[in-house]
Amino acid sequence: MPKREVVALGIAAIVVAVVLPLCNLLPSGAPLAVSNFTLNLFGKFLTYAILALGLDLLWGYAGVLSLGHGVFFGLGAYAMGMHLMLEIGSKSVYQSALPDFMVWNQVKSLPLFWWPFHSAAFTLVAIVLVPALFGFAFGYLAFRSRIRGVYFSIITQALALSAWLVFNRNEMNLGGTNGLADFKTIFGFPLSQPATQRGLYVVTALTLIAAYVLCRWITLTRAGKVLVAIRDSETRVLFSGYSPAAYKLFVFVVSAGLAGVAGALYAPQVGIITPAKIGVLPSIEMVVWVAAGGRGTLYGAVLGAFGVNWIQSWLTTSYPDLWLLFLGGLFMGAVLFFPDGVVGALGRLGARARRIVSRRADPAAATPSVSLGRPTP
Amino acid sequence: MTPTHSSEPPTRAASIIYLEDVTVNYDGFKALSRLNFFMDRRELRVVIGPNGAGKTTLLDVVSGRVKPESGRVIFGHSTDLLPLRENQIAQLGIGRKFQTPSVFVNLTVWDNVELSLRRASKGVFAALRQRDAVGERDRIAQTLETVKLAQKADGMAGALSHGEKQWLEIGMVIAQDPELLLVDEPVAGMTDEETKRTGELLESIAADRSVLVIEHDMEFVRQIARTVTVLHQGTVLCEGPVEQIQSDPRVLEVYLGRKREGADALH
Repeated sequence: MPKREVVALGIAAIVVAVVLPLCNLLPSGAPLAVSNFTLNLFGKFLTYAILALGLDLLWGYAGVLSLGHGVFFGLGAYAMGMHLMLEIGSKSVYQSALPDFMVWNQVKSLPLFWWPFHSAAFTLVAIVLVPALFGFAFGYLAFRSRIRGVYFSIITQALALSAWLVFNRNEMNLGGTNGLADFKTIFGFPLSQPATQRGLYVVTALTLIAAYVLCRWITLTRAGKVLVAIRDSETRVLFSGYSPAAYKLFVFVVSAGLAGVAGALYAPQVGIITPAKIGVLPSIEMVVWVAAGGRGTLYGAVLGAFGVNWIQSWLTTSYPDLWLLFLGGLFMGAVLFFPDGVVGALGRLGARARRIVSRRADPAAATPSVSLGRPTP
Repeated sequence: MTPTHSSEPPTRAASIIYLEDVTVNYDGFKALSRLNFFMDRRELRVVIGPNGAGKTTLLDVVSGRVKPESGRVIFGHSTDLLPLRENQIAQLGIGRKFQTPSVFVNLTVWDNVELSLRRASKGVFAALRQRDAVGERDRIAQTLETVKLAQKADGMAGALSHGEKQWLEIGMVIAQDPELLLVDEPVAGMTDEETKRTGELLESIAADRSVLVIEHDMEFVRQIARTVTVLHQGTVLCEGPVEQIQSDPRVLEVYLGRKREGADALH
């Protein structure tokens, strides 16, 4: 990793994982105090950032655009949600060992596939493995058949739509439209306690840092170069002796696993997971985060996920009418004016500023600028 | 194809590539029609022919991009190429240079060659673990010297000129250390100087490998060719030294269809 990036990552890690939780410990009203609400909100953004990292690895590096990552996020969130539902036990409204919605739907006994989620260990494995294995099966079929480009994107969108439809059905015994909610504890810790939420926040921040290091490591290996090569010329990769399908499958599975972990950290912090987080729209929003932040840089994806959602939460509370206009404007802006995202636009601005500064400092080195389109007399 | 063919061993043990009775059918259009073609080891062969003669299809069949309807394709002593995918064929030792430069524009020139370098495994997990040893770095540097791009090793491949991209791709194919190189119109769009240097490059490569070149530029063909194969309507029209080919009335006939212009095109 370049030295500058290590330093920046270190500072960001200390601020996000140490300083912010400490500020949360300050009494409210004190300068620099971070409220429970804000910390919780940031925790949610951090889960989005974990997902965005995987998406950037897939899209920004390998050039594979998935419009269905909400599904993998949802699989992780539901896996965690199922465990949290079972942890409630008979302290629920209906005081049954079954989750409330099952009582309501007159389900008599716990469906078989719910049983393993009694185990915390199984759940922790499942939040990664379920989305990763599903991603493997889907990616294997798609990439082996050499489905690529816009066709792949459309298929992932169809996947998001069908997953949304399936999770909405009561017969799935996953809470239907209402999803899973009213969690009480996580591994025994009460979720209503600020300390538990703070702990979840710190775990999320550390997971994000680990995910960043993992993704950066991948991009720095030869495999990472192969990913960029696939984006540039898949045919040349193939005729250089590599199987592009295997590399795309690998990065698709990694991104699916990261999305699952993100979902699993999202569910207990937000307190609810519904099919609305799975479908086409949330999946596209995820892509917008990466596009707005800047593709193919990793940190652009993190900043995009954090920035877009922060603006969303501010706009939807202060100027609710403006949010959709802003999102649409952001999308068009990202396509028309800054295709390489905020990170890329800032980089270009910085380069221009440096050129101007160096030209002022050394006018002799200045090259005459060619002006285009000026009418000739 | 008759059943007796598949049980016979290849008839020429010395050949590097051996196509027998190969037919490629694109929805009724026979791009190759019962084509028989073979090349000796360390041979530099040029294939010419009018548009639609099947030249690029021939390369597609050998490199695995197109699977023929019938026929046999044998590499080296007895390796059947038909069941293999493109990347497996590349790993066996058949390199392919495309007509339009196809390099990785968002990687450095060095990285382009590094990815192409011959390795025991090009799987995902090998690529995650392995770092290049000194020997591998030497081979990359040496390849860049050969194609005269050592000065630009750290620059992005996207910043190279058209001719330099062509050389980089040739370098990438050399780095694969193939026994057989397939080269599709290497000098299209090059300046005279670049064309001359490309010819020298291909001749030096052919010193210890087999090279199969498809070309339109007759001056270039005369520069490099020893043996020329003329394809016409998916099958071999004639084969021989370049002078003989140029004066062959059948060749003049098929080239542009009319004798007068055909003669102009070939001289």
